[in-house]
Amino acid sequence: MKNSSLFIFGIFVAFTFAACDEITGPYTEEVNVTEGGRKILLEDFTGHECGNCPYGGLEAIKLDSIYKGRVIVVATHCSFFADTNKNGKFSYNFKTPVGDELDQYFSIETAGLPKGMVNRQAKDGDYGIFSNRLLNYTEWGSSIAMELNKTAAVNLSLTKNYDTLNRNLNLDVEIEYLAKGNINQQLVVYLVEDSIINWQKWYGHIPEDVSNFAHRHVLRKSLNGTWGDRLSGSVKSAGQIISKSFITSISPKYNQKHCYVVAFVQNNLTKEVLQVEEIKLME
Amino acid sequence: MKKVLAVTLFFLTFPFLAKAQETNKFGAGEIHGNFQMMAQNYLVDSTIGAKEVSEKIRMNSFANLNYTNGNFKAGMRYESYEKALLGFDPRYNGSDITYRYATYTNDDLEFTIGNFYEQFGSGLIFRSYEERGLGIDNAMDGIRVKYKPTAGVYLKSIIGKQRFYFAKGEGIVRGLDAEFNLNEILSGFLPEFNSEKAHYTYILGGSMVGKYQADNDPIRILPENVAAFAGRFNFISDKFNFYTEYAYKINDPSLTNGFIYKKGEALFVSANYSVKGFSLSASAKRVDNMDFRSDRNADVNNLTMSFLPAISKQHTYALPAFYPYATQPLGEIGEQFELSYNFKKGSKLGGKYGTLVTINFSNANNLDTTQTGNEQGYTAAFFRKGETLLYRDLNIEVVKKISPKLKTTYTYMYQVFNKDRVQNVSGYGTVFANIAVFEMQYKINSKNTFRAELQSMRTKQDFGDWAVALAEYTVSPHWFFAALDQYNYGNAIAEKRAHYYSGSFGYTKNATRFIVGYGKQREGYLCVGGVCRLIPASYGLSLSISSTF
Repeated sequence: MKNSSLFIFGIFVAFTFAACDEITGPYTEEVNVTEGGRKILLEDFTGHECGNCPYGGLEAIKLDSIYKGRVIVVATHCSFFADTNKNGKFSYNFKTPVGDELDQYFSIETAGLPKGMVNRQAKDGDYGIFSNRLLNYTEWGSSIAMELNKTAAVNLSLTKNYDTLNRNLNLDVEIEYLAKGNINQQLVVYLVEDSIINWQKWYGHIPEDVSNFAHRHVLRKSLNGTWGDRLSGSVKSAGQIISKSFITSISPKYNQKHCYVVAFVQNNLTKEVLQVEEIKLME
Repeated sequence: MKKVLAVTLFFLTFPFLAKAQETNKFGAGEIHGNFQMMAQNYLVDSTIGAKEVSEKIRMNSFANLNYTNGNFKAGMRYESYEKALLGFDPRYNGSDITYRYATYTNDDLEFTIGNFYEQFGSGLIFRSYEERGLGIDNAMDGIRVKYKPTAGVYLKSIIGKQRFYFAKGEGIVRGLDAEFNLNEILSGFLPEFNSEKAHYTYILGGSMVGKYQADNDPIRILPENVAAFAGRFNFISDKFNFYTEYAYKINDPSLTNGFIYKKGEALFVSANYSVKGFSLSASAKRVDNMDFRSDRNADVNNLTMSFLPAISKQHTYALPAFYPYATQPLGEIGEQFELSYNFKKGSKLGGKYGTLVTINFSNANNLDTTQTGNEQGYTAAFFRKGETLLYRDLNIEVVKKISPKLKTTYTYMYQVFNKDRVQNVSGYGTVFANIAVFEMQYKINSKNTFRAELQSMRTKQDFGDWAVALAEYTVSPHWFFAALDQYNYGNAIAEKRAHYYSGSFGYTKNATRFIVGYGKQREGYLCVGGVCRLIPASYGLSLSISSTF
């Protein structure tokens, strides 16, 4: 009896000891970027008084650079972390009505920042709970890798005519269906401004309050509402092409050289993003 | 749906199984359980920051059913959050059977399939538990085997996944714990170790816990199997108890530690001595990179495997509990001392009925670290404290009975609370607070008791000064009535000098209790055992029902 007990105990010990992976370096690996037509929308929910948010921003930049333009980043400032002070530090208003609506819809403030969404996909496929798709920044990379392996259902091509003097933008979006599309699909068009220099709280950084922080990929407004326009009221067949046009003016408050448009098609029931594309206002 | 059907069938079948077996071995068995419901109606109050809640009413409710028949036990819990009360994670919204299990004990072997809670030692490397008030439930779903191969040897092994709201975490957890009661082992050979004769008990223990989570990260090379080990020793005598445990964890890069590959470790030491009328206790803890979770991407209180015991006093009065200390799993070093002395009846300080004095001191600092600038993150001196004070609490409590009917308690407390570091916020700095509490309890007669509290907190930081008054009237055994006001009279912003008043009454009959409350709840942290949850400000009517059978 005692011998058999020791034997069983020994087996347990051996199993547990065997289950150790000590990494002594290297700590990173070369990423093998596969070819494919699908691009990924990475939404980085952030706020200038969120001290951990710069780490999310850095992860987004890293992923953007690794996947060489196949990841399109939009940084949405939201929640109480993006509230403004009356004067001094953090008095610049990065918030937008679109960001507020996304915050409300996906319960972003409750989940806490930094959080992100990759193609607005739910981690476990359960779209009933909206916060299921809010990922910590350490999960963005694996989620992007999975999304990139999926076949593109839609192609997007953007053409623009931008008057730099009057700051008027004419944008044409062509949506080409590569597979059958349902009636819930909508086109969403956001305006983004890159590299806005302003205050940011950054835990672990000296100083903690950074006056000249470059806020990357900042969502400025939507050209057609938070959830966009319905593409058509009927089922789309493979090969079908739909065109949409937009006219908007770019606020003089924005640095037009740093502005770009992000357009994406999403299933408006689940909010899953099928395809995304971007175009700079000025080359 | 399948799950609901299976469990329903399981419970419907049991009485028949039991009946069929009545004449044989099993007997009829018993069913016990409990029910709890907490509902809250939310009103808007801009002065305290109580926001509009679309549903107006929210509710958390639970029901447990447990069936016991001889060596067999089975049970389930149904939970419903429609929707979850404010402050609970919205991923709780919904209703489902979240806990079901079956356990059978056969001689020295006990096995459980389904859900279970378990703890190895003091929990440094594994504690699966439920703390309903904090919204924590990291129950295991898998298999647990407990085995006693010989006298004094207790083995436990577990494997499964942890609960994550209404789903399960990604990581697979497996572990083994062995405990050796030397007295029981040696009493067969050495009669002086026999429990009836021995004045001392020696217990040794060791545990190993591992987790597996696939590495899907395209950039980082991550350990898919991470293991942690712990060893413990406990010495128990009539007057003295000594416990120590040391834990070690291999590289475990995670969201919470910033994906560093440093090893983790924790040391916990506790000793106490007590004789009639006197007790002295001391404990110390050093924690270094010991946030151990079954999912490397988890945060807040989700999917925790390690539980690092708090070594600060858990206060029950409102103002002393205003700034509760939350254990810092990434790094802290701290200690606590408590001395309690009961001045005897008839002595100068004891008076006619005796006087109990308790002095408690606790302190926690960060670790003394040096950044390495590489994937190891930092190095830390083992016994040297860091310069940043996280928490300090010196409190003195005097309990004095004035007459057979009147009992009074006086408490003074000086607290230093590094709000930025403990709550991971910025711009608040460190709070220095002086707190005084007076409590009196007057027993009018065998059925009626009146209790009152007056509390004051003076601080120049954060929300400034507070005062609290509470009056409670109990009519045993059924009724109680209470009125409370928390007044933030020292807030630097005049509009925020709000009264947080509330009233409540409760009715208890046998094992059932109803409580109705109305009033304002201030925003703050609720902590149990060093683990905390933020409770948002709210205003409205609340109803609580609990019952056991």
